[in-house]
Amino acid sequence: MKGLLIKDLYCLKKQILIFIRATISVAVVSLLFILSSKYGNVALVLSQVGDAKEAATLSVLTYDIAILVGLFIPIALGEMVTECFVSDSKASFEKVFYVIPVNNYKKVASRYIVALLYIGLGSVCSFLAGTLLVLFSDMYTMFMVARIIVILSMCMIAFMSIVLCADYCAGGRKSTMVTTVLFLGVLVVLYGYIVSVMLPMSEEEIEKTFNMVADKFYVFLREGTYDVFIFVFAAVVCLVISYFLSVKALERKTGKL
Amino acid sequence: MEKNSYEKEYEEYVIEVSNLTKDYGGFKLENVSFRVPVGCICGFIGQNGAGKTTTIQAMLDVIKKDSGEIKIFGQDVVDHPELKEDIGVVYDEMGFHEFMTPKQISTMMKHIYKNWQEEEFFSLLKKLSLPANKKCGTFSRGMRMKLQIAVAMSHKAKLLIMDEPTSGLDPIVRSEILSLFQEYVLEEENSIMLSSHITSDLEKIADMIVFINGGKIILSGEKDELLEEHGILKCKKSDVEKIASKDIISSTKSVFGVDILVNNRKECEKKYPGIPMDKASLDDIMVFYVNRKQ
Repeated sequence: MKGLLIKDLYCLKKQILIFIRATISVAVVSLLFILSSKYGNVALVLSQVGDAKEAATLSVLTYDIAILVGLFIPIALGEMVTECFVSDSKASFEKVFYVIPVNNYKKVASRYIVALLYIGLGSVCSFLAGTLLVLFSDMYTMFMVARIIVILSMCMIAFMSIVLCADYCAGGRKSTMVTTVLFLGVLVVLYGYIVSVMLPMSEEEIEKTFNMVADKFYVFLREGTYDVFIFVFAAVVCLVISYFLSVKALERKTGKL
Repeated sequence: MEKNSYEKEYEEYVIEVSNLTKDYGGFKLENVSFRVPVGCICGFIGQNGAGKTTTIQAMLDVIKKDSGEIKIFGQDVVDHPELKEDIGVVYDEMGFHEFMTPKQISTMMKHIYKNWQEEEFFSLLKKLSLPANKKCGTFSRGMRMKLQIAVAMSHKAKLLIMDEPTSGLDPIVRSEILSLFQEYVLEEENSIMLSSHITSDLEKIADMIVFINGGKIILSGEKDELLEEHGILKCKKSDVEKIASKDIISSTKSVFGVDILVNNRKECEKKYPGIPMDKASLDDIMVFYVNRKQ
């Protein structure tokens, strides 16, 4: 198993620059956004909003979303582990993979460990970017940033569990397609849900709902503590189920070891 | 040295395949059976699509067989995956990543095979003139094959299974590789199963031949015996009627008459003294048997 991990880490070595660039970009862009919403164009737009309370809500919401998206980008790079599938497929590595004396449990485990390493590395990058933001903004505490990163990492682990399992079921050459379909699938479901909820609403109701969601979002980001464990639990469950399904898929495709 | 559990089991044969069947719908391996004795080089011949790769994949448990029994070192690979420690596999294409160097491949293999011999690997690289620190992607086809062979020979494998390792290589590289194989089997317990449709290579080094066609084993036995038994009667058209049908394996029209393959050369030489008899090469045997089938 260690040999397969080493091989995947050689793949990661090629991509380490992408992680570094992403962290720096995220930190810089988020910082620019915060500065802009304090002194720049975003601040100007917010100042033109009539209602002071609404302006404050909008301001906090834009900060929060920017931070959330910013912190998620390095974690989302954990998805690059699927590059290992593509890379294996391009090299016809399956020829070696199927004849080495490593059982299917270890073969699959090595890929999952690499995925966790990628997500872990992404989380460290996010944490570094988050630390910079905490230093330059008085809106967030280190605890808040750490909590957000853990939640985002757990979501990513759950997502990767599905992607990896789908990869093992579909085969290496289709891994990019599987990831894209899954990602678009999640987006379409979310979009469809929002549209179906909003369509029958009047303008007033939409505004009310928007404010309610913004409030909940605000509370969720700032006031939750132990709910992190729910995300951790969900991610672990997804990971374990996905792991065993992947082993089964590999056994079905090849000989049973 | 104390023998491990599976070594105690087998005495004579390194590979025993009996009644192997695998049905793909359009193609079927039908009751494939053969045995490869320990210490020999077995040539596995057949035209493209005859079932060589499928048989090898079933032997290595890369694909699931429908029925039959495959024993390697006297045991079933499915039940004993640890047997793969002692099997070196070489395919017609390199399976390593192009961004990896042989040195990095060695680091990877060191953690996969318990018996990985790093020094042996680097000495083989040197012998085969392969750079240790150059990315595999820059290697020529010959170099890629040599690298695979070096990997297969560096973990103390007692059996090398190779699928078309010499196809597409120039004669110099081929001869270099064949010499390596001959050196490898000098150690008594080492054996090689080599699939190829370049029969001239096998004529040089193989001890036994297994010939597969259309998913069925057509011939199997010692190479020298097969070459000794088979012959080609160079008949004029008028001579053809003189040949007993039971002696004819297959015939083909030639410029001067009809060539007939027989599998009892000595007997036929006596039986048909006026008709010239040529020795049959593996190529001839393959072509005549395939034509008979068609």
